[in-house]
Amino acid sequence: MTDINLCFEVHQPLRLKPYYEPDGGKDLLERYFDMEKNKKILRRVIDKCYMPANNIILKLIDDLGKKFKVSFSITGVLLDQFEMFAPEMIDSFQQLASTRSVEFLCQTYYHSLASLYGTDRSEFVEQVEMHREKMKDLFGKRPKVFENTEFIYNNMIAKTVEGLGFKGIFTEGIERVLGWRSPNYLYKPPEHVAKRIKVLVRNYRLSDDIGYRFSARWWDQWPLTADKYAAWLAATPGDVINIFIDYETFGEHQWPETGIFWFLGSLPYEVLKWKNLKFSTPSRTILKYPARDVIDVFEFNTISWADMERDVSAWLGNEMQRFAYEEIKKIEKLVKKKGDPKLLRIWRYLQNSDHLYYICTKWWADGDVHKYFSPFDTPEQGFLTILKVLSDFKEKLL
Amino acid sequence: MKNGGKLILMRFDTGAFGSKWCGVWRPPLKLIEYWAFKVDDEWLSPQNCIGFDGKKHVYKLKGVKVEEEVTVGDGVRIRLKFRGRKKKRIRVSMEVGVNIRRQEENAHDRRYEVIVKRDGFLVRNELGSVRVGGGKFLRGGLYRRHLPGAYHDWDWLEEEQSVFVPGIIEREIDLRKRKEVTFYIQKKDFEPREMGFGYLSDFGFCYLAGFPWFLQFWTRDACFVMLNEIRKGNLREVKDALLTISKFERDGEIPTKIELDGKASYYSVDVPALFVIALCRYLEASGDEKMRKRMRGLVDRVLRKRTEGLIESYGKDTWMDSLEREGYCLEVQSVWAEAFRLAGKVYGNPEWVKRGKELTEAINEKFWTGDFLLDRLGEEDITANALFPLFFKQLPKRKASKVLKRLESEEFTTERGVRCRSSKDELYDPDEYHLGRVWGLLTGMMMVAEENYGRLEEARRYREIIERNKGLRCIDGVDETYDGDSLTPMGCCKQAWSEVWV
Repeated sequence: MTDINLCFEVHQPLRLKPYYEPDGGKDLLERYFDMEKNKKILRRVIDKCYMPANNIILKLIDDLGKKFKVSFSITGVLLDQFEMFAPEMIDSFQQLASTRSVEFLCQTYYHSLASLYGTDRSEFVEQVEMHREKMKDLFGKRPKVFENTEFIYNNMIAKTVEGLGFKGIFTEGIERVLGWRSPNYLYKPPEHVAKRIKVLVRNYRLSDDIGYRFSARWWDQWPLTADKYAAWLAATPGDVINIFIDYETFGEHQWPETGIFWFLGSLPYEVLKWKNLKFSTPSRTILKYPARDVIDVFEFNTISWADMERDVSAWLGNEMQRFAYEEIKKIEKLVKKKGDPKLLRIWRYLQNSDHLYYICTKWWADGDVHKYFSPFDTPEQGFLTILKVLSDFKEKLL
Repeated sequence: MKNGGKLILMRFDTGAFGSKWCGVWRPPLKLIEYWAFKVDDEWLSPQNCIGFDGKKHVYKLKGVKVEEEVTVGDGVRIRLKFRGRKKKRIRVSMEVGVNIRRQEENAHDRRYEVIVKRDGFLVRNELGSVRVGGGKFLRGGLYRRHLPGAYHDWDWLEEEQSVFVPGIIEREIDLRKRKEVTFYIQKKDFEPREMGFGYLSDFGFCYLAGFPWFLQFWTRDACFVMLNEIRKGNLREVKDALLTISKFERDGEIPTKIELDGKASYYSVDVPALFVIALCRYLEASGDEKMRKRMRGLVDRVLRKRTEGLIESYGKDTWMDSLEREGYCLEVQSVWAEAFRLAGKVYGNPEWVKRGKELTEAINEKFWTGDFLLDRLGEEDITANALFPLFFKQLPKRKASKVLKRLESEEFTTERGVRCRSSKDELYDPDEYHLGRVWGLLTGMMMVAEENYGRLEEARRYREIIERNKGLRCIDGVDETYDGDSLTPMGCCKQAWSEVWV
């Protein structure tokens, strides 16, 4: 029997204003962030993706009961926006939580790169604890499995996360770490790093078949139907197949016209036709299966799920990105010394990894992806904007 | 299901051999996939089977009724009786599908050698042989693939089998002179034995865990069987089983599983303690001083390995062996507390008694949440392992009532018995083995736990559940598990530790 973990990353950044306005008002949230645009985009994504997809999943759970299970990893930044602009989405996810067929994962509250902030991981720990408490407040359970921002993973992150009491951590199932080994098993960090935490690795091929290639007409497997996909899953050996995709795949990245909602609605029925497949959730999988081997990921070889490189170059790949990242980090002491929760919150929104992602200057296929998501016309514009914002913000701290 | 102590026959009540588990077994080998009789031109089949009373199948053919009675001892005897006056002479043919394979196998490519005997044949491959007889052997020799049947609701899948049909055994009968005819498999003692789960392996007697597929000695299961057999007074049998298991003790470790070819595997944290409990209960019930002295060294070796602190589990070494339950598990502390207490009492060792008390106190303090017991220290799982300290009477009455009430509620108790995990638990999954199914074992333990605390009405309720569960899929058998929501029987259809409580 192979467990199928169907997991969704649910995130919307709090986008900066594309051009910094020195007279943007006293409220720093309004001054730096394009709240009107954020609200508008959120509304669009709710209408096109979140609400219809949630409704389909609720119906599937209604029809199939405990046989169908999914997991969500919702960022704190998005939950804040739901609370500000669309509280009905919180109700909808709470309704899903009440079925107990849904597991909620933990991540950094602000979808930040705090896990990379040198040896002192206190900011990372604070953001993880914040998110865990938020999950408990909203959905009644403290998550046991962690998914770091954009699947960023190395030994030290695993060690810190284990220290926080998590049973499992997700990362990308890439060949440069797995070698000949399959992503369809649980792994563990080396013994000297962590004793008990298990590593769940994403099957990126099967995930990207839905997330990226679903509507790609150049793909020799197009059109992807639920029965075909279920047959692929059934033919894949292993203890667990982790399908982890952006929730926005449904209706936003893949438009409704592509048949993506029909696919979502049919997939569970097709999967359950196979006697060797079973929907599960990460916590159940961790309880059921042992770690089959060790994966050893040094800090200089940090993994993520982004771009072709699947490292941290999507956020720290050029001088502009690294400069902005260092500037954001530098402010930590000042902000924390100030002790003003409002300022702390603004600083943490500025840590959102998306701001650095928009400054990426990669070309080829990945460049298109960066551009697709970016509110800026060019990476340079993004860089200048965040520098101006940081400079203004620093003044407020002095 | 008929267990002759050496040969085991599994067959449907319709007369069909409709699953890969049906046939004649000499564990760890399967010998015969099926047999089939033809009377003149008509096969005895589920289509013309008109009844089964637990002993005989009755078939209605043209002009004759046939009763087929099977007894299983060291051999299998099949007696056909004919009733009716329309026919004077009949020809009876027996076809046997031979399939000598290991239990864990399905289709294979082994070839057979056939030796013709006076009244039948002997057929063999490199694994073993089987003798079939009862008439004139007409040699054939057909190899074929066979799909006996699948039962998806129970998770019994279709798996292809290899069958060899050596030929036909035939008898001409003049019905005016005789009304019955006998065929056999293995020309040995056919006296039927009522063995239940007992089995005589080459290395001694013990209890099989369940039919059709747990055809091994699982020591944990055998210990629960023994606790009940002691209660019923079957002390001789229990002593034999204890002696058989004790042969496999290695440096204080008791095997989790003993295959019937004598291979033993050791991977349980609780089995040595359960063995000590069964042994000491036997010694208390029998007063067998010779056995007490004989086992002194073994008990000492088992107990001295766990003399400090709480007892840790490292993964799939608990009774919930499909789960990775690392850390300090409640039921593990509970069985060790009882093992130390009882051994201390039986062998007059105050140190052991003290150690038993220490563990019992830890259960009452460290695992107690205020109204229930933790499954593992530091974890939030809500499971029926809270039953173990009640089964061994390790909680005071006040605490026990709280735990029992919760276990009696719909959260745990269903029409088929007790779920292994609360339906309110975050990880509850009704069709997962140890994440939500109802277990016959737990239902039996619940009955005893209720009795332990004087709740006799409630105990009766669980007894009635077990009795109601009898015969759902196997005559007189109680299933291993049931789906936690739909209550569909799952797993083995006749499981020792589900059945032995009543």
